[in-house]
Amino acid sequence: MNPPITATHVYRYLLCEHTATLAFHGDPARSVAPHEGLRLLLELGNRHEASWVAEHCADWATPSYPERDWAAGLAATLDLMRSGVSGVLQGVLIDVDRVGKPDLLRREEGPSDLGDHHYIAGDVKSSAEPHTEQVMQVLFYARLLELLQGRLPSYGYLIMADGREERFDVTSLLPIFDEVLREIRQIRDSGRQTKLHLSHQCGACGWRVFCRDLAQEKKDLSLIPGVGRGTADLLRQTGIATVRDLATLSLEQGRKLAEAEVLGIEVLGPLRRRARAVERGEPTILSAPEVPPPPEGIYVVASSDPRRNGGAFLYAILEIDRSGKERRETLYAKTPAEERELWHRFLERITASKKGNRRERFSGIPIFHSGGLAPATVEAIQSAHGGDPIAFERVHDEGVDLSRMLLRSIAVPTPSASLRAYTSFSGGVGADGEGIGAGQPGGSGFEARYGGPFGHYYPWHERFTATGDEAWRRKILAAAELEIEALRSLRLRLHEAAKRAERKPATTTRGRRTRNGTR
Amino acid sequence: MREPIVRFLERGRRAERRDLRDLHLKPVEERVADGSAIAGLRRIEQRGDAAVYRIPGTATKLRPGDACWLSSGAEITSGRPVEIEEIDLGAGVLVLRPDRFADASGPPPEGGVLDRRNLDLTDHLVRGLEPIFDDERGRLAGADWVRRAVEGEAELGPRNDRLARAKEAVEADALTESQREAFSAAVAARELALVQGPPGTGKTRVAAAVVLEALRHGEKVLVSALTHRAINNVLAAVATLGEKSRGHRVFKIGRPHQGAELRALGIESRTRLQKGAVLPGEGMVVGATTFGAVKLRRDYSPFDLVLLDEAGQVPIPHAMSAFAGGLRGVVVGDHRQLGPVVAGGGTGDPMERSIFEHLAERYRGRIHLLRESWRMNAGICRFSSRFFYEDAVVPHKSAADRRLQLDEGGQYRAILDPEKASVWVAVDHLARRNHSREEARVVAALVRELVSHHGVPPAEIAVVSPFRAHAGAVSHELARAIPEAAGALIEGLVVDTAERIQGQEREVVLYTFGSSDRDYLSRNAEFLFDPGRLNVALTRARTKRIIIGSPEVARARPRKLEALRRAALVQALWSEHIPIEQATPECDTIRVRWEE
Ligand code: SF4
Repeated sequence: MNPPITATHVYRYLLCEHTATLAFHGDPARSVAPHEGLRLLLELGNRHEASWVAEHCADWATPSYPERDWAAGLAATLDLMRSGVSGVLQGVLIDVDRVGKPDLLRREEGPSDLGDHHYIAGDVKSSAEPHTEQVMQVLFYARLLELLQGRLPSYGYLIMADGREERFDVTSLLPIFDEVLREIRQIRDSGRQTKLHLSHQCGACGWRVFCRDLAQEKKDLSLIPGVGRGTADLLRQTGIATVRDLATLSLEQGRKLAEAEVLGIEVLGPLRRRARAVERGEPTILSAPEVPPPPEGIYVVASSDPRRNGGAFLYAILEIDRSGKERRETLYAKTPAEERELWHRFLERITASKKGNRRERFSGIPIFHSGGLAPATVEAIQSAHGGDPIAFERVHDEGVDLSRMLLRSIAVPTPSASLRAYTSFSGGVGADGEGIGAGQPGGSGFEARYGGPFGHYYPWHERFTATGDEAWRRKILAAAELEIEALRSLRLRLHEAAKRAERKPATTTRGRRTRNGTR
Repeated sequence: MREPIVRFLERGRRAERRDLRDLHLKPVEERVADGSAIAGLRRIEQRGDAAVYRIPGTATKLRPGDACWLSSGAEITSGRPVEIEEIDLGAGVLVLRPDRFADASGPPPEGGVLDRRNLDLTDHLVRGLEPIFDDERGRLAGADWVRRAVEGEAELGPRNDRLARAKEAVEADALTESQREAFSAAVAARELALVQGPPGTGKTRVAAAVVLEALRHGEKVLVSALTHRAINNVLAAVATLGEKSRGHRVFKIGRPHQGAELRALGIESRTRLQKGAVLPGEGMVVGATTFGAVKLRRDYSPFDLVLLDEAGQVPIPHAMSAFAGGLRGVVVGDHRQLGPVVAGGGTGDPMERSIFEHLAERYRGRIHLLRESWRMNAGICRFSSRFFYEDAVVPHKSAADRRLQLDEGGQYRAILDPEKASVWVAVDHLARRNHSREEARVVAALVRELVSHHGVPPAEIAVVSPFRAHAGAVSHELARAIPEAAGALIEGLVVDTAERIQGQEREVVLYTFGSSDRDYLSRNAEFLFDPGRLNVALTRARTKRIIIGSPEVARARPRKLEALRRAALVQALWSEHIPIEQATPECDTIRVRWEE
């Protein structure tokens, strides 16, 4: 008998299809525990769920049954549903090969096999916005409910981090869900093969060590940043299966592939250079980065609560003026209420900074960050808190995202082009081997979501505000300090790269390119 | 009300500025590939102060009326500020005028690179809105209804005298039932009427009838929209329909875009309207863009009626600034087709919606839907009606059974079969992002057969793609497949994005996705599968719709809920074409492995 499919399988499959292969056919001993950041976030999620339930589901019932005895769990859940309770918490819904445990089953009027009422499934989540994998979990329960109560719920719902309810229509989304379930069954039953593909999802995956080791052993194409699943599949079809194959691709072979229209030469060229960087373990310049010359610059690490669309609780700032003089400041808010003041102080700080040389793009000293001051983020902060419009515009318009620049202009010998990845090959500051993503494939997306590559800023912040334990705050400040140094170092490296590229202008296979002109 | 509007406009201004600056830092090839620049201009002729250039036929985002720089391509902002008067990619011709406000001397450049220029009209717009923000001024100007309208409190009920007039007038006009209802409501409304015109349901016809009826009673009407093209359509319909418009003056404010055509219809082009242009009590129609309307108001106001067309594309503040010049409004549009282009959009700010979508929500159940499509046959109409109009739109009886006229034989008969109004040609390819040669070849072969074998006029065919790059790939393949491509054989054929073809129709439309990288599709689903874009692309054809796409398109799984809903729509489109005989007899999926 094949093991049952759970909503968690569906959730993970949507993030990476290889998780299903490993869940059903892998060696469980190779799976590792979540790292600190994720663990803290999971705990946080549980607390959020518990407090929401305590507030909103006081008269709901919870089925009681012997642990992992799903048949008994189902019977107890159905009893409660038949009796018409207003809601069931952690009910058990099973079928021949599926087990589901929705957080919430809410009673709605309208006939079903249960009587004049039926139930709607929902889950409590601690993200700010609903994601497909969460929606699909609820659809998983909806399909089970259809069987068990003889009526498909008309909608499903998610409770988000801010406590609001997000509803979605079930019928229109079911075709996608059914296809997903069919694919998972195929993997489980007929052994359909999937391939590992290192991506930003791996940081939060239990198989990350296993997959990383295997990828390195096999020199998998996904070790190259910028090679997506589709491109990797396409390359494999043409016999390019490893980093080495791609790195050693001859011009002639490349031309043949381009002629056969497998991949254009404009794509193959940079990919081959990225592959070479990975193969040799050294970075390679792809194009001259547009980085303003040192020393002047303001380096900023900013971090906000991913559950709220609002302010940031941390701004760590290092300003270096034209003579090389440094000024440091760290602004940190203990409570959301303080974030407004913090933003205003940050903007004042920007206003007070030296004007520097005016250049085409900059009205003052350039501001560097690694995603924390992305235009959309600062828009959100400004619209929540208001503030000096001129300083805000400077931050908004002139911020230079060094991580993005790195990704675009340098091929790095790591599976992601994050700031963390950069420090791991630069051997410079920040390579402490501890943060999220350290030694883990493609941690960047995870990091970006939860507070930057150098710390689990957000979960630490949450721990600090909940417990008042100063150790958490110290961790935040120390990590921010490291990140600032990494930013500074990255900027210098990018500038050097730009100078080198200028001496030897970057060429593409299509010919020589100048910055703005025609060839 | 002022604050969210100004915040929205300011954000747009910033995003536009930032986007343009980043764009101008890119090499010229990238700007061209992105569609925001045209390289290789060559001056061939001078017509008055307008210069005519020859251009390569690559697809572009640039449109008539756009402000641009004409430069060497390197130092963009030290180039010549110009405005596009006309752009015809098919013929490879571009007409530029010097910018009205810039003082440039010397002859126009011989050639160069044309880049988008930032024309920041935010302050102009905000000034135009001040009377509405200020209660007292609004009341004095008779524009206090605008604020109520936007807040959902306008009077939609009829004024009895006007209703009687409308009933009387409608007898004479050959309108369908839903058109008659909409007409009466628009003519009689006290302050505001909403008319939703799904594809091919004759909204311009209704708009013109409303204008004519107002003229008949000596009213002054402002016809406004975001684009000159939309305004000209309504004015032209007024002029051609109007026995009754005879004796009334019809003006168009702004650049004489399509000037000759308008003049032939007796429409007078003006840069501004002189006071006393018409006598009191005499009817008059003035066409002006929403920006032009702000300036117009200084010369002339108030109008008895403001008719806003293509309101599904007009942002809320722009619409309000046009309304401010009138005493009541008729809003014509469709929020189920392409929405407004918003710089720095995607933030979830409700201001990003069009005025039509906003009002449709505020006045739910009180919109007048035009229900009969004169354009689409039954097989083409069905999907759009079901998924965008709750099954309310039906083909008019003159269109329902229309079929594509083909000659005997042909290599691709199964695909072109007139009995299959809609087919999905499934082309297997992998990892294509924004263009696919495989699909481009299929398109080229089908167009060749339609034109060369069956004699379908090229001007009756459109190829639509979500990607400019894919449209480029299709043009390239067409040139290979039909060596006469540059000549008459495919003149008039449109190969472009849905944005370009909104409001138009063709006998045959090929919609080609050009993408098969599932991750890429998932990441970009919100844009690619935008329901408005999809609806426009799927409703341009009269008798034959051919969808060309990899099955991967139907397997996108984006992460955001809104994008997932959109992906589900494409999956439904795919399912519609799986040949289940009873369900959709006119739709079919044909899987091809294309061998040349
Ligand atoms: S570690 Fe990465 S590749 Fe492996 S299963 Fe997890 S997400 Fe997929």
